[in-house]
Amino acid sequence: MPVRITKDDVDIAKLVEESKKESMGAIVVFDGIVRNDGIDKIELSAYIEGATKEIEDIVADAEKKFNLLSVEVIHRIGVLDVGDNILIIVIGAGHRKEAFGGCEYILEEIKTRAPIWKKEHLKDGSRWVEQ
Amino acid sequence: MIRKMKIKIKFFARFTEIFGKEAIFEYEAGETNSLKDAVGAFCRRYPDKYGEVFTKDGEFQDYVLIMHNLERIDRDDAGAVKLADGDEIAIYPPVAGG
Repeated sequence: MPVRITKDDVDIAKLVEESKKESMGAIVVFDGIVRNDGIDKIELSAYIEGATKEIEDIVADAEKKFNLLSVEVIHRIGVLDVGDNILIIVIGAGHRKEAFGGCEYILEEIKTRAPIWKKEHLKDGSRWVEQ
Repeated sequence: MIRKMKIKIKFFARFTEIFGKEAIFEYEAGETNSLKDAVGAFCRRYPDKYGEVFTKDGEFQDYVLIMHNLERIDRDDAGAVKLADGDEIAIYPPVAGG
């Protein structure tokens, strides 16, 4: 399944192996992780049906624009600790430029379009993150 | 014969703390004619919080994002979107995924 919104972590090395095709010359992996900005934990929530649809649309656009051969997007939700994986994108393409370009496009579009939110839990309260 | 309309309005992120996660909003067809009208009628049930989603002039605040049956709707078009019984609307603040 190319797009998943899930509480579960994933085995990135396994995803890479499963993505490989003989026609590929490059696989690019993006792993967005929880940064320590003085937070205790971070909580991610999503409109799961809406975010899945939006990311599927983004992936379909990227596949055409960058001639991608495989795409896997896993966006995690739930309560995460510093260092945990948040967003994993694995892109396979014939050449590195297409793979890098497709990965960046998908990442930037997700950040502005997918209905997913972060709430930072601090020692003395919590706050929503709005970009 | 009066035709009843039943739509689902879902709220996300900080809006859930105001309006709850989701509500079934029932009204008579013709009372409200568009997505903007229906969400406005629902939010007016919370007079002190109405301003979180709508301006005083009854327009969506410029940070409000909208989905109608899983399709993104431009705020400026919400007054022209006609609803059908069983439709699902999502109202949410700016996203912060990734």
